[in-house]
Amino acid sequence: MEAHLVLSLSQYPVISFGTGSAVRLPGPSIDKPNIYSFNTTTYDEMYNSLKEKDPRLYHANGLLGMLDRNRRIKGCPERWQDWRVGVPRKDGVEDGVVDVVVTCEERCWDIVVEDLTNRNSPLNRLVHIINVDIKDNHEEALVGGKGILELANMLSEAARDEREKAGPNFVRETVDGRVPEVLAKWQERFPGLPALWTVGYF
Amino acid sequence: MAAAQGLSSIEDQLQQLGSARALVLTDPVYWPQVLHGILPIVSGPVVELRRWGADFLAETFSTPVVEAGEKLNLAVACLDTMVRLMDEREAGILKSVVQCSASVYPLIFRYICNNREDAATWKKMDVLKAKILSLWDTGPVGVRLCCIKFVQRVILVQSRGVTDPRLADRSEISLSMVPTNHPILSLPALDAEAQGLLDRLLSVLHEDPRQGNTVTTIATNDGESSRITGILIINSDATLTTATLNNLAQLIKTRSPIAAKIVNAVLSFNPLAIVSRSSTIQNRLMMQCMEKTVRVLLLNIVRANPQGPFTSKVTQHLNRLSRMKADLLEELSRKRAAPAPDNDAVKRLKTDQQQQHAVVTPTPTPPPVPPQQQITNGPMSYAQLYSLSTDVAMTSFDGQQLPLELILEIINRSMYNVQQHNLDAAISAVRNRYATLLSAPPSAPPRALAQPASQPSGYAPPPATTDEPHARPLPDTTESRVNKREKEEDKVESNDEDEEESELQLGKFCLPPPPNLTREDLCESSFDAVNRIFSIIDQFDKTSLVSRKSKLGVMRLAASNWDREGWTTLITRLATRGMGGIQGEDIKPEEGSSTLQKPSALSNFIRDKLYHFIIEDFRGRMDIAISWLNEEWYNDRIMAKAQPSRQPQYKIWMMKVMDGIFPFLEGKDRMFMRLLSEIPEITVELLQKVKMLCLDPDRAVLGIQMLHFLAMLRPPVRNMCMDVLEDLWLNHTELRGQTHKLISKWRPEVLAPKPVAPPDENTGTPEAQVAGNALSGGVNGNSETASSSDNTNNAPVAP
Repeated sequence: MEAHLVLSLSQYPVISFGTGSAVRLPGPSIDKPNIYSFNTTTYDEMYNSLKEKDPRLYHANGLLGMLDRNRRIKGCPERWQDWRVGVPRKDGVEDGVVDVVVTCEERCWDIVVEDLTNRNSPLNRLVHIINVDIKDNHEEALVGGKGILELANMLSEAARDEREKAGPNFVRETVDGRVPEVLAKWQERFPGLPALWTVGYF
Repeated sequence: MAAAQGLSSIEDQLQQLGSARALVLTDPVYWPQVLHGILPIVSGPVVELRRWGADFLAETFSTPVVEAGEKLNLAVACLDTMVRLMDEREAGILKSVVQCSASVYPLIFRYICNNREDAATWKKMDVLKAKILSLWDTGPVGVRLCCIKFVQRVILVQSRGVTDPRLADRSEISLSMVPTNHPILSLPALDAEAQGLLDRLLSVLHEDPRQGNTVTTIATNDGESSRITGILIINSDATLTTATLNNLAQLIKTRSPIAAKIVNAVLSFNPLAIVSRSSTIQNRLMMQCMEKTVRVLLLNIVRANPQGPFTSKVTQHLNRLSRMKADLLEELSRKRAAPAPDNDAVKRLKTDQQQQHAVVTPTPTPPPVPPQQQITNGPMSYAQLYSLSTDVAMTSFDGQQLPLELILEIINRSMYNVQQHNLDAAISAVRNRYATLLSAPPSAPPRALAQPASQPSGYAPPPATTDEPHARPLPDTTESRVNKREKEEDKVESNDEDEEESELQLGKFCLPPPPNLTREDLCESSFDAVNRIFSIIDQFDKTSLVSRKSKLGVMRLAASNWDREGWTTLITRLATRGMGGIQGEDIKPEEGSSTLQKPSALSNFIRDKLYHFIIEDFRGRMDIAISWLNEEWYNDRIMAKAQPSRQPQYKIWMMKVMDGIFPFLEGKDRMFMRLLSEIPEITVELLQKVKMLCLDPDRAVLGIQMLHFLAMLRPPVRNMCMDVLEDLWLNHTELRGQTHKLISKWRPEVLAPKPVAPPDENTGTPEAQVAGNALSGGVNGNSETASSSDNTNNAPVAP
C-alpha cells in the first residue's frame, strides 16, 4: 500500500491487491491474528474495529497508522484472485488493465504468475510482472516504495525514449524490449531490493 | 495556420473519441455501435487516429464485457482494417493489431467451421496471419511478444484437444471442431501448420547459447556501439524466452498430443546458460528470472495433474536445477574479485573470504621444532619450553602485561582457528623438548634467568601466543583443564620465580588428581551430552513417518536398535522417568514452601531441547512429540503416587508444544490430527485452540475435522468437542454449513428451537471433564491408535 500511495502521488494510475485468502493483521499474539475478508471489509471498518479492541496496542505497533493511511487511499483491500481483469473500473484505471504488475514478495510473484497462467490469458494482453522483494515492516516499506517509484520512472523514461526514437524500419518502438536492461540498471541502484521479472499475459 | 487548425481538430477528434470510449466503458451496450463508427477513421490518413483506433480494436476484442457472439460479428467486420493496419511501421500500432488478431483468430476459425462457403473471410485471416508470422522474427521486441501470443492461439486452435469426448470442453475451439469434408479447412494442413509453428515457438528454448557469445565477443572488439547490439540480443532472448515459457502451460495442459514435446523442450532448456556467456549483473538477473519462470511453469503443470506422466521427470529436473543454480551462484560469488555493490551475496562473499583468510594466515609453517632452542641444555623457563616461535620479538614478549580476560579471549579465538596438524606438530615438539629436558642433567640455575627475564612465571605460555595467535595457543589449552588449573595454582603459589625454576630443573612433575567437578561443571557436561544425543537423532536419514514404524512387533523393546527410535526413546525417558529420582534432591532446600516441586534443571533442559527440536520441524518430528508427551503423562501418573508434591509436567509441555505448532498449521496439515489423537490427554484449553483454528477461514476445515475426528473416535472427549462445536454453531453462523452435520448427529437438541441458548453452561466444570478424559485415556487410546501407534501405548509396559 505504501507503493500504491507513492505511485499515485506521482500521478501513476495504480490499483492494488492482496494475494492471501483473507486480510490478516497482527493481533495480540502470533496465533490470534485479526482476520478480515477481502473485497467486503473496508479499511475504515478495520481501523475502527482495531481501535475499539485495543487502541494502545494497535497504535504502538503501527497498525492503526497504517490502516489510517490505507483508508485514505482506497475503500477496501481487494484480492488478486478475484480481480476480473479488463472490467472497467472507476478508480483511475478505467479500462481495468495495467502494463506492469509489481509484487513486493517472491511468494506473491509466484502466485500472480501462476494465477495468470491458470487464467489462460483471455485478453491476450502483454504484461510485465516484476517482483521487488521488500521486507514486511514500516521502514523497509518506505525504502521499497521509493524503489518501486524509481523503477516506474525509469521504465516510463525508457518508454518515452523508445517512442520518440525513429528506427530504420520501425518507428515509435515500445519499452518491452528494454525492460531487462532498465531492470538491471535499477537493480544496481537498489541492490537491497532483489528483483525478479517475467513477461506474462492477461 | 492550416497546420495549426489541423492539429487542433485532431486534438478535438481525439477528445471526442476519448469520450466515446468512456461511454462504452461505462455502458458496453454501445460498444458495437461505436466500433463501427470508428472503423473509417482508423483507415484514415491521420496517424494519431490510427494509433488510437488500433488500441481501441485491441481493447474491444480483449475486454470481457463484450460478449463472444458480439465479438465474432465485429471480428468479421474488422478484418479488412486489421490487415491494412499490419502495414504500419509503428511498433505500438502493430502490437495492438497482433494482440487483436490473437483474440480474433479463434472466433474466425469457429465461424469458418460453421460457414463453410465464406472463403473470403478465411482468405483475409490468412493474409493477416502471414503478415504476423513474418514479423515474428523481424519485428521490434514488443511486437514479437504479441506474435508469440498469437502463435500460441493458432497452435491451440489448430491442434487436437482432449481425446476423450467425455472430458472435452464444448466451448473450446480446437481442431476437433473442423468437419472432415470442409471445403476450405484442410485438417492435415492445419495440423501440419500448427506443428511447424510449435517447433518454431520452441526453438527459442533450443537456441545455441554460443550464438549470443559470438555476438558479444565481436562486440567487445568493435567497441561501444556494437556492444549494445550484443546486449540487446541477449535481452530479447530473456524477454522472448520468458514470454514463450509463460505461453506453454496452457498448451501442455489442454493439448495432450503435443504436451510431451513441449515438456521435453522445457526440460532441455538451460536457463543458467546465459551467465556462462558473460556474468554481468544483467545476465545474472535474467538468469534468475528465466530460472524462476521455468520453475513456476513446471510446478504449475505438476500441480494441475499430480498423477500426470511428467511428474517424476519434472520434480527431478527441478531438484537438479536448484542444485545447478546454487553451484553456479557459489562459483560466481567466488569468481568476483572485488565486489563493489553491497548486496547480501557480496557481504556473504566478504565474510567467506575473511574466514578463508583467517584460516589461511595462521599457517606460518607448522613449527619445525626450532633446533637452536632445543639444543639449549640445562635450565629453561616455561616460556622457553613452550615458545616455538623463532621470532625474537615474539619470544621476548611479556605476556603478563596483558589482562587475564584478554588472554583468555585470545586463547579461545585461536583455539577455534588453529589447524589440527599444526596443533599436533606443536604438541609433539613441546613434548619432545620436555622429554629431552627431563632426561638432561640439571645444571646451574642462574644462567637461565638471563634470557627469560621478562617472561618469568608459569603463566608464560599464553602470552607467547598473543601476537601470532593461531600458531600456538596449544600448550595451555590442549593439555586440558587439569593442567591449566595446575598452572593457575602455580601462579598463585609461587610468586617466587626462583623457587619454581629450581623445581623445574629438578624435573619433579607428577600429574595432579583430577579436581572434583563442581555442580556447574556437572550440569554443563550433562547438557553437552544431551546436545550430542540430539545431534545424533538429527543425523539419521529423514524417512517418512510411516516407514519409521518398527517392524519388530512384540519382540520390540523400548530401544532395540541404536536408530532414531532408540535414541528418541532414550532422550524422552531421560527427561521424564530417567530424572525422576533426582528431582527431589534438587529442590529440597525450599521445603518450607507449599508450592509444588519443580523438576530438575537437567530434565527441564532436555524438555526444552525436545520442545525446540519438535517445533523446528513439527511435521517431520510429530512421532517424537507423541512419544515424549506420552512418556511425560505416564511419568506424571507414576510420580503422583511417589511424590504427591511434584508438579505435573504433561499439561505444561503439551500446551507449550501446541502453542508452538498451532500458529504454523496449514489447512493441509491433516497429519496433525494424528498428534491430537495420540496424545494421552486432551484438555479444554487445547480444544479452545482448535476452536481458534476453526475461526480462521483458511484453516477452518482442518479445525472442524479435528473436532469431528475426536468426537467420533475418542468418546471420553466427545462432550468437550461437542461443547466447542455447539459454541461455534451458536455464535459463528458462517461455519454452520460445516458444523451442521456434526451437531445433528451428536447434539440434535441444539438444533431444536430453544428460547435460551446456553453456550456457557459447560464451562463451569472443565476440570472434571479433563479428569474423566485422563482416566479413560488408556481405554480410548487403544481403540483409535491401534492402527498407527508403535510405541506410544506400549511405552509404559516396555522396560
